[in-house]
Parts: sequence; structure tokens; C-alpha cells
Amino acid sequence: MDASRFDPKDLLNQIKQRQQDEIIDVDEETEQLVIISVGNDWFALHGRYVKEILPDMPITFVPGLPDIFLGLVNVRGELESVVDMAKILQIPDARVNELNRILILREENSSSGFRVDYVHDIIDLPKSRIAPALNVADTARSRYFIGEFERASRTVLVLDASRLLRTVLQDEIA
Amino acid sequence: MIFAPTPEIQTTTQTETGATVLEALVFTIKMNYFGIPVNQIESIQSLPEDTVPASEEKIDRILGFTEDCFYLFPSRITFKSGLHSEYASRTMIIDGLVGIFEFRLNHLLLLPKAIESRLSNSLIWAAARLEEQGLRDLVLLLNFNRLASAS
Repeated sequence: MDASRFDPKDLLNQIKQRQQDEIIDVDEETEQLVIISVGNDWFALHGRYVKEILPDMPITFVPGLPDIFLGLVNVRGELESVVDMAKILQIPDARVNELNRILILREENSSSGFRVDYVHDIIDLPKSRIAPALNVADTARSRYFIGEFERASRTVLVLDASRLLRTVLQDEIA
Repeated sequence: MIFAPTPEIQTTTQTETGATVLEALVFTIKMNYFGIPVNQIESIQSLPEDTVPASEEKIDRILGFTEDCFYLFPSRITFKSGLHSEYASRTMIIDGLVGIFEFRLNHLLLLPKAIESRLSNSLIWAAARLEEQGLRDLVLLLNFNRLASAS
């Protein structure tokens, strides 16, 4: 490391700035969010819908299903459908590898697994930090976006888990 | 055309211990395991390796595979004449015979709602585990006794 380029004051300022960024009002209502990525895009799902996060596991292909479906997984004796989040969100560059995770989303009596590229974090975010998803092009997939926030210099889009489940259950066309 | 299950033909037997089991002929198509109840099958005939006459009906089409399947170890099955469906007495080509397995009915896995609703016209109705046989894969169970009927 080049000592001549190291400025303790700069470092101190950076630390102070970071601490200020992280300070939150403890009385403020927060939302638990699961941050995921699919392709190069980051998304978040409300934690109340995420029943389970499963590691990459064998998926049994079922012929005759629409192509958003990857198949079935056996979760401790219960079958769950698994769909490809990349197909639903029309992301062509999803990565298939051992870092993939299957998120089981549940709402009332409906549930399904959604395969995502990677689960980054689970955070509690003040609700005031979540803005409406306004900076999104109006495409078929934008109907799944219900908010956005900044995280690690990235825009994270909050997904409508309820709508995702309705798509899987055929109440809505993907 | 709408298919509905027909309970008229018995598809299960009881073991000596009293457990109700489904005996199924298990085979593979494209690395996927499928099972047909044994008591829906009249006969099985092995065909020469890598030989499927063009006139024969192949099971991948019936199951909804969209890409062509290559049959390396084909067998011809003939369904029983007593089936209450369009498959009665028909022949069909399957591939990769694994064997005949007994599945306890109370161990069968029901299809989740998201898939069941999309497979209302399919022969697939449940799944079973082959773990006792040392395989991690699921077997998709077929029922060729689904009756074509008007709703």
C-alpha cells in the first residue's frame, strides 16, 4: 500500500458519513426484505411472503407445463412447484449454478418455489426508504414492481410477491 | 375433451401387512422417471435396441414433451381392454424400463395446486419417491384410466 496516498482525515470522514447513512430512527416502522439477484438485476421480496429459502436441489421436470415452470421439488414430503424467476421477469442472462436458491413464497393457501440466481441479504429497512417504482420502463414485467430503494449503490426493485403467486397459479398470464 | 379419474378399475392391492400399495412399472424418458399402474398393462414386449417403427405411438408425445425424444431401449406396452378410456387395448412405446415398484398409497405425494391446475388434462396425477431404491428422483405417476368425457 502506498502510504503517501493514505489520508487519515479522508478515512475518518468516510467512516462518519457511513455511520450517518446507517443511522435510523428506532421508532420508525421497518420492513423485512429478502434481497435477491437475477441476472444483473437486484430485487427484494417482502419477508412475510418468504416461507423458506432452499439451497439448489434437484428439480423434477414435469412435461406439459408452460415454460416458466422448472418442475417439482420435494420439501420434507410436500411437493412444491418451482418456477424460473428469470422467465417471469424476462431476464435472459440468469446464471444457473450452485449458488442458485429456491425461495418458497406463500400467501394464504397458495405457495410456490421461485428459483433465483442468488440471495444477497435479509434486511430490515425503514419503510420511508422504499420509494414507488417510478424509474422503471413500462413493460410487461413492470407490473411486478411495487417499490424501489438504494442499496450498495444499486437500485433494488421490490417485487409484488402476491402478484407473482397469482401468475404461477394461472390467475394471471405470465 | 376433459379427462376425469375413474375409480371403477381397481389400481391398488394390499400387502400381507395390510398396507395399500400401488404397483407401477417405472421407466425413464429424458432422465425423468414415470410410473404406470401394472394392472392397467396387458403386456410388455422388448423391441430391438434403438428401433422404433415410425407407425408406433411414442409416450413422450402423450406426456407433452415438446422436443424429440431418442428411444435407446424401447419397449412396447399394450394396455388392458378393460380400461374406461381411449387407451383401452392401445399399444405405446416407452423407453428405459427400470422395473416394477410398490408404492404405499399413504406415501404418495400430491401435486401442488399450481401444477395440478395446469395438468387437468394430463395423465400425471401424483408423484412418489424412489428413495428406498436408492434414487433421489421422483417418479411421476400416470393413470391411463382417465376417462374422456364431456363436462
